[in-house]
Amino acid sequence: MIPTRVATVLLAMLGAAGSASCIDPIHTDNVTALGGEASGVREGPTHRPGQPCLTCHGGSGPGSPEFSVAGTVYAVRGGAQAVEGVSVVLTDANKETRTLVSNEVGNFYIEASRWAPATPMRVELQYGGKAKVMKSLIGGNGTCAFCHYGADNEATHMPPVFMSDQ
Amino acid sequence: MKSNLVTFALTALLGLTVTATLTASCSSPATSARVDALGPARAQFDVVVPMLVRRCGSIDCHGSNYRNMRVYGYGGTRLRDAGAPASSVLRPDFPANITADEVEATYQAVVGLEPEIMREVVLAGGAGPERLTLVRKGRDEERHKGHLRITPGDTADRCLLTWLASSVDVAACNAAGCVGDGGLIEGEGCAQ
Repeated sequence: MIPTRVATVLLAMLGAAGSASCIDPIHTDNVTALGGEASGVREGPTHRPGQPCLTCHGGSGPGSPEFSVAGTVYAVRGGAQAVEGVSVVLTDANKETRTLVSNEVGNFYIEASRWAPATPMRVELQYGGKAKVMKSLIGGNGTCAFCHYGADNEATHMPPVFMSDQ
Repeated sequence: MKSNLVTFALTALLGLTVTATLTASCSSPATSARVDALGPARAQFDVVVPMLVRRCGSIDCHGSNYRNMRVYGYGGTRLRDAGAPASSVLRPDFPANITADEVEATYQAVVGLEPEIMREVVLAGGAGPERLTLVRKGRDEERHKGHLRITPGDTADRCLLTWLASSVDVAACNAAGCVGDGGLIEGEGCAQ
């Protein structure tokens, strides 16, 4: 009888270890770090401008739908004024193109179910008759704020996506 | 009685498996083991870096301090001198060059990825480059989040392989790295 109980306990421990291994603590921490919703803003297309959208909408939850590309565009480099109506033209490695348009808080996105672009991907912003091409290509991460965040003049990242330098 | 014996045997087997797994996970290489790093010609790497930055070095890929293979330069992350004032910090989009320190840091990162295999490939005059994860991943022959970045036979591939053979094809590297007479060519000016 004793060996049977020992086996049961061991199996239970292995089962618990297996379940624990399915939790991604990094993802959990990243989601937690984003904090709660801004006051008066409901979940939806206008929430959380400037945040890394795919942290929650990247397929691991808790947000849905899943996006393949998403971000926020601002008027000037380092500024906080978002721009509505910017056309974000994406061209993937297969030369397929999609054009996303920023909404009233500057957010733009496309669901992964509608487009799964092949990288590298070219990005061009068009607004008011002007066009601005991103100098490098997106290598593999559709979260614009993965590289575009925080302060300017940093060695390791760019400021939030901007339409013009000044 | 027979049932208890079978249960006991299964329990013992389970215990041995768990113990063996834990033991294996705690083993480590000998602390005295060393490999003398031997990379392809350092001087020839200057012309290889623009290709690596262009093909591999975006901030969301190998232009990141979180990667073992770190590629520094214009268009990706920049090497930061910890003691430098904020006003002199290089930005991913300025200036449009790759500094000597960035070339050196990238060289160390690339050569140090698999020092044993790199040494073997270099001593073999560049033969068997596919032994290097660098080559296999770039060609997407091994699972690579960035997928295909270097197509066998293209300019980037020739650049990398000739460098591994210490006889770098400068023209191929310049084409793949978008380097013109005036230095790096930005975005639309480069067909790569």
